[in-house]
Amino acid sequence: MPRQRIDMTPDEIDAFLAGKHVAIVGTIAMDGAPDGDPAAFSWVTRQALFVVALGGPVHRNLLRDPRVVCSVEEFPSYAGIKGVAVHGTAALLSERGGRATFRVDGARIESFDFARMRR
Amino acid sequence: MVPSPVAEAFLREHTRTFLVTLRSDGAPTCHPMVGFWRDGALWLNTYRKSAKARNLMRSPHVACVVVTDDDDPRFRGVVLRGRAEIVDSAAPLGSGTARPPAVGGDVARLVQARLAEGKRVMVRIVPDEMRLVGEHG
Repeated sequence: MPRQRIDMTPDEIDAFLAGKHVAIVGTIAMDGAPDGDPAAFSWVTRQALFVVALGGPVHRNLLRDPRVVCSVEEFPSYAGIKGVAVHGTAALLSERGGRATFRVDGARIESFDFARMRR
Repeated sequence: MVPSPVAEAFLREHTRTFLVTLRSDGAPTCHPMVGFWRDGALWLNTYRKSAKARNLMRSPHVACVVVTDDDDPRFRGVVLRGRAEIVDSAAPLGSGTARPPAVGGDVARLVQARLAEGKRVMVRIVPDEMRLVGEHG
């Protein structure tokens, strides 16, 4: 039986991400294993931007290996679970004021909305 | 490793967990989940055939980010990195944690049934390292 589709439309993704300001950023650490950290997040003209501490784990990891994922979700109830993951390559935009700002290029987006599940 | 008292107290009180694994192409991916801290490990459950289960069976090194709600005025969390293992048992969900499961009773019962059938599996993550995020004071 084909798996039911529970992903969001591009407009739904825009609306969902427009209201989100925190993402969990997944990276690859120096030891080759995954790492993660929260980051300030924004979704601007269908591009993911995030800001992390200069010299922190995410900044250091991405300067060495720019592969990245930004994960955003909400969980008001089980039926209301929604999430978006933006996979791509992190491009460094600025380093100032103790913060590093990145954009996710070549983004591939995955999304889910549990309200679409048949029950 | 033995977590700091602050980290352990936070993990006992919070279940909002993001699991970071590596895909088959080596890139990171991230899965929102519910995690429970018990006996020095973080416990998750998922479908045996899920992408996250396949990822951690291929590459068991993972990171977990356990955080408060995004709009918490004291947003904070714990990042733990370690090794994941699949545990084939229907261990009780959420027992031993200060906070009850973040799902309703019907969902919890369905998950227990899927665990008993072997369609879902428990994932145990023993941390090698841990760090605090935000102000925990």
